[in-house]
Amino acid sequence: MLVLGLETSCDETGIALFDTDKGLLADALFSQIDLHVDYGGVVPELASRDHIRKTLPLVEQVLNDAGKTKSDIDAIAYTAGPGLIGALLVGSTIAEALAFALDIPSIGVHHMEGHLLAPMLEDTPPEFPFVGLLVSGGHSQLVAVKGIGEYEILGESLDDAAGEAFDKAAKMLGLDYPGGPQIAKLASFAREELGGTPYRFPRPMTDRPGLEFSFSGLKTFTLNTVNKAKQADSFDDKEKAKIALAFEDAVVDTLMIKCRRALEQTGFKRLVIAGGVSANINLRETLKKMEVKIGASVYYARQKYCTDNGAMIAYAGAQRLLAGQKSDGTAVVKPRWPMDQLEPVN
Amino acid sequence: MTAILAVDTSSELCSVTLLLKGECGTELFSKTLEAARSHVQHVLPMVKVLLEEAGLKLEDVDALAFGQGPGSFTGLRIATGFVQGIAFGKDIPVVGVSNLRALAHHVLQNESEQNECFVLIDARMDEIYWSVYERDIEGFPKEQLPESVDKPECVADALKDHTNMPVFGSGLAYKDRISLISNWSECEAVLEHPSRAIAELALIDFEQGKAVSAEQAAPVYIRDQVAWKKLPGRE
Repeated sequence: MLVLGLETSCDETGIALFDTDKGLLADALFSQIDLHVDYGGVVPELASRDHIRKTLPLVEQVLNDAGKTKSDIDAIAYTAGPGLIGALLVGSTIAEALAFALDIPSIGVHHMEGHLLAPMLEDTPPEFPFVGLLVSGGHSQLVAVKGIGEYEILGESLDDAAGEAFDKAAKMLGLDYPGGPQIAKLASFAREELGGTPYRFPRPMTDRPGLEFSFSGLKTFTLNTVNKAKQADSFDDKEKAKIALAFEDAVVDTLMIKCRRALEQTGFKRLVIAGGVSANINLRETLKKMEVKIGASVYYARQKYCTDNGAMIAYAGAQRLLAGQKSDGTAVVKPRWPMDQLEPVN
Repeated sequence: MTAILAVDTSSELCSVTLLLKGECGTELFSKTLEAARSHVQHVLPMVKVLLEEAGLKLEDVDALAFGQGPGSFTGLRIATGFVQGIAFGKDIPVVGVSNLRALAHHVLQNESEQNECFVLIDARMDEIYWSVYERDIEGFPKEQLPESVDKPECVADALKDHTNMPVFGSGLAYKDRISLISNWSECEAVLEHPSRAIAELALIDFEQGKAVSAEQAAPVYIRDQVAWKKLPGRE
């Protein structure tokens, strides 16, 4: 079955063609970072305006890249939520209309399920069950995953998502949006060229039991550190890098501690990290190094499938379509959509 | 026979029309629903029913038409995305029709002795989308003043050379704030199916070879400056 995947939930238009026998055939991405950078964050209306321009040309591109024509497409999967409503509607409307025109089934996919299953596109995919750490600009969640659609939320952020914390800390350091890659770059500079950081930031909510996250305290701590450095007239590039490293270390450590706890609690032997923040090298390496210590294997997608992409949507949609699920033909989207409300795939 | 399928989701209404032009004349079949915030739920089922009732398939449609704006941004993208998907899937050409021009067409059809009209659409944020259209030789509306978005008070100056002409559109509530036109007459013909004028105007463009391909179907927002603040130093 050849599945066309459309992802338009936020600031990237991601389109892919996934074949259930041959795997991923083609994928294309248009990132809107340049469009939003001057605003310091995603402007929803501008995002929607761009999606409607980019979607069809990218569909044509993946068809060309894969040497397929539109009549070869057997089904269409699109992100139906959660995300920005106007952005979601662009993908859902085009997808449902195209499915109607081609007389093929379609399915609305949960964006975070897409992220969670993205490591399945790798050569050594994880088996079920596993603990999933979902960390992105909108989410920080630990999920017990027993199968596709069988998700139990073990814990989540009480305030900011991990990716949001990165963005906000980046802003305090005078870095551009999106903050994650910028902080990672500065942090690695501090690690490699400056011999580390003298700062030690708090690891929020690790001193008590539970799998909840909170990043707002860390944000305040970062701001205070930045302000002190400014007052002391020492807020230069080196100082910024040291603060970035201390911040990144704190987030990575916190996530690691919670992952270990979640593995202990569930007794699962596999950990999957997914979502935009899982592209962070420090996080990947720290968790990978921990494999032996925690007695669990760690899985993640290659970097381009950690951030938003069409491949993960095509893959997740294909699994549900194979199980006989499909949409009712209307392009209704769900900007808010708790993951544990998804239907299991048997 | 020529078949045009038109959709308009630029306002609170979700409206679809199938126009069939044969040797014995033109027939119009329309459906319109009050569908604030639920256009996506209705547009495809409505199109299916319309085609079924006419005994037609998508293959039989020669061109797709859509209200390209101005109007609700999200609504414009729903119509655009819908025609993009169908046009791409079935290789059908697309005609975008201005929603102000469609309103003018409705007015000029109903006010046969008038040759001009002032049309205005509520643009929210205390502004209106507006234009003046005149009847061309063929009887179709031709843009006389460029489509714009303005505070109602700022429109009067552009209208100072005009005299009483019918006024129509969802921006009528603002009419009293345009001092010059407060005594102009209002067109009272009810606009039951907004997609009807769009289908009729699209037919002309289609016959004149002005249809475009799916990827070229795009909304015309008019309001391109929205109050998003750039970071300091990036204005």
